[in-house]
Amino acid sequence: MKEKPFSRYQILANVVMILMTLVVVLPFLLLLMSSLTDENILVANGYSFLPEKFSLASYQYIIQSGDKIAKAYLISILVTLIGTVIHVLLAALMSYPLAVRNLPGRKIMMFYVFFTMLFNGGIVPSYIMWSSFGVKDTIWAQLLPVLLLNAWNVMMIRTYFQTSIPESLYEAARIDGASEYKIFSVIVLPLGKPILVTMGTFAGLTYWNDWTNALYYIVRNKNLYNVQNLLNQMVSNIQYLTQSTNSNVSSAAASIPATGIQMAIAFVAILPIMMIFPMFQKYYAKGITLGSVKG
Amino acid sequence: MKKKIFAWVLTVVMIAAMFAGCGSTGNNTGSTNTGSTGTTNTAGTTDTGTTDTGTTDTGSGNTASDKYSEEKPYHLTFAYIEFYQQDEAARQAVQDALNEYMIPTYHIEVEFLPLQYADYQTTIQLMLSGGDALDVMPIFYPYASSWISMGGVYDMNEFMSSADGQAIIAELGNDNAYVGQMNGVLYGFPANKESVELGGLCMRADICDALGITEDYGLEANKDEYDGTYYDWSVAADIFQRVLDAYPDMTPLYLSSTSQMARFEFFDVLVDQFGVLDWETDHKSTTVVNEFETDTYLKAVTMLADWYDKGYIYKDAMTDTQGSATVMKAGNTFSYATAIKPGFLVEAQAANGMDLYAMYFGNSEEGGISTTNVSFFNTGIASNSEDPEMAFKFVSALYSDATVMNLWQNGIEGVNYQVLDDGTAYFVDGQDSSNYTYHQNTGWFMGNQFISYVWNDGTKTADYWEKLSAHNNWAVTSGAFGFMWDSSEYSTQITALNNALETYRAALETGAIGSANVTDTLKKLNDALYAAGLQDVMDAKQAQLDEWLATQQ
Repeated sequence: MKEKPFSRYQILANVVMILMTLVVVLPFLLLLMSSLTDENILVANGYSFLPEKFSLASYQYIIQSGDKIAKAYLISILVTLIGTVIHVLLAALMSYPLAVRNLPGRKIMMFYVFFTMLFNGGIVPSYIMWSSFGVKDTIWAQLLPVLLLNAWNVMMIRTYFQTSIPESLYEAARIDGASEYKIFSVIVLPLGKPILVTMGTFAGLTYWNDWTNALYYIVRNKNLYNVQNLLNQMVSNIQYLTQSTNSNVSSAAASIPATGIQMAIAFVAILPIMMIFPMFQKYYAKGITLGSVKG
Repeated sequence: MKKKIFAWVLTVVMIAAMFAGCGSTGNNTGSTNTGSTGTTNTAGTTDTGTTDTGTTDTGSGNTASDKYSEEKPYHLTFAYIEFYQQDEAARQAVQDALNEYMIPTYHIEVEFLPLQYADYQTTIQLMLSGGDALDVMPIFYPYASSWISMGGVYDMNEFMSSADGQAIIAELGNDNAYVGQMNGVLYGFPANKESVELGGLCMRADICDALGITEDYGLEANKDEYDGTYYDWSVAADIFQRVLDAYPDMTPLYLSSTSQMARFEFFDVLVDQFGVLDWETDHKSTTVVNEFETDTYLKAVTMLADWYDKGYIYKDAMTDTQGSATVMKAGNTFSYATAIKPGFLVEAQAANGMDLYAMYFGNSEEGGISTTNVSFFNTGIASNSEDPEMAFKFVSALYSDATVMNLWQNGIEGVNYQVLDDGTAYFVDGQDSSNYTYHQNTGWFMGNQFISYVWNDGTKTADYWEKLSAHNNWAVTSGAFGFMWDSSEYSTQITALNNALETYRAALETGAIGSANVTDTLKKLNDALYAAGLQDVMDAKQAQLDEWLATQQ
């Protein structure tokens, strides 16, 4: 590559991008630093990028809460992996027929999918339904309700299958005598990789960040809590204990480094995703709308 | 190379941006109002169906217990909130020990269902609507009206004439036993606890000593019992000025964004603060008025605004949620406003990690007690219960059977706690508050802690429960004590009113608006409240109160 002097546009673009980057990166840095700050300093001086006194007390507290964290991490990872794979598979299976132009009843099916984006049963009916399926207090509670399929993702994948994979490819395959399953597995899945990975990332994030399922369906068996549930529980309990005007607060509870812990918890929760995400970046960069078949 | 780094940075930005959206949902659930007076009433169902009264037999205890035997006990689900983390195995052991006692005595097999404070409301609400197995549950007073109107709460009135009911009345007293009543439905019994919320100051002992405040006001270490001495808040202003003169960097008074108006002026807030009784003006008033138009309120916020201007109050009070223990430990705060009761100082000193003095304040002669002071969390029966009569037996045991209460609260004697020579209880040797396995420490929340052992945390003696009762007894009850307003038909208005109030409340009640703006802001607040339907709510409240008063004659 030849070194060219920077054009004015390049400089400007870089400055803008760097500023935008800072806007996003700095809060995370601050989050990390404040989770490492001594609690008293944190309260007295507020948040700062270079704390006067470092302390690992918050992380110690998290670790001391026993093997619960490890167990919860395991649940989170397991549920996220399995959930994402099933989600993407189901979404692709749903999208492909909808992308076939001459499918009878396509409009009705399309509306059926779209309808779920606008209306749903609400919490109580859903709760009664899922309880009657017996997901309560089982690992299925983390996996099945709400997250298994998402109409928005189906629509996105369908659009991609329809517009970014040329119609002629489908036609050629049909002429060659390929069955629909063959087309799906040999043409649609490989060519649809960018959109599938992108949607998979969305699904994975939703699974990783979800805490409402366990909130509703896991009441007795707290061993099935994922990281988010555990952290949410910790934060809310700390919040209660510190804000309680009831003055029935024991010394043990009050010695919890409240602010620091919340920061540490937030950091612990985002760490795995932060590490995994760059791996999928290749596909993600191709984007939802950008990708197209070449040659 | 440059390109690659740039690509990396962009990736990070993208992830970060995603988390800005997704991550925030993970951590902000706990916002259910934990304060004592701020009551966020969740929109309940609007139908006013009365609770179904299930069983047909009218309650002589024998018929029910005949159905169950030692071999075939009634399986009872007991939901409660675990405020402190317990060891799972230890809890199971306690449950087994409790059943060893419960099954032969009551023919009841208890299953603990510990909930978290954070998800308690959602969980119970779903269990009620989903028809899950649930017998005895805690009912937080703001939830009562919506849970009753959705038909989730069993009316316990029918059991009150039985021996079990009488046992509860004997323990709580007639007034307190019936305080958890709404529209004639007895939904729950309050815990036996300190009920007065009269304001006081908790101050750093070292600074009081250094500035001579200790001698001037006769402060003593560990003196927190009410002996009739109280001061006007203007005295507090003098103290703050002295502290500020001597230590210009120090914050004399910590206030947070949680409502602490109850520390300064007492109102009978009639559950939700929209339409109150102006108790300070007339102790026996039964006229519903708008709290934010009363002189009492104006006086209080004017005083606070003046303090804020003078630098007495924590600068970030309006938005702060850290809690007093955090700021006190940080070392630049002199005092905080709180409710003081006997035994308060030991707990506060442990929580804040320093020696403290307590001082009673108030500009009325005594503290006041309203329905919601007594009725905080209530022990009630879910309509899901298969046999409410057996559930009631367990409720009654929580109030009258010391063995049950001690087991649930303190665990197994000799394993989780020991009884000391003076009749108080403490952890077994080798355990303390940092490494215990089972100690609920929530007697103030459900059941009758006054029958269980006094927990010896340093200064409490065996007669601590008598001291607490005496502390309650000097308080004067409000004219509407026992009245619980049913807001289920007004849930939309209440939500709108809460939003209007929250816009201005923190600014007013921490003084952060400054003296110059008090009247203006109050006017804005009142306009917003009336626009949100305050008058309707007040009228409905007054009508319900009048009706209730008529039945009390």
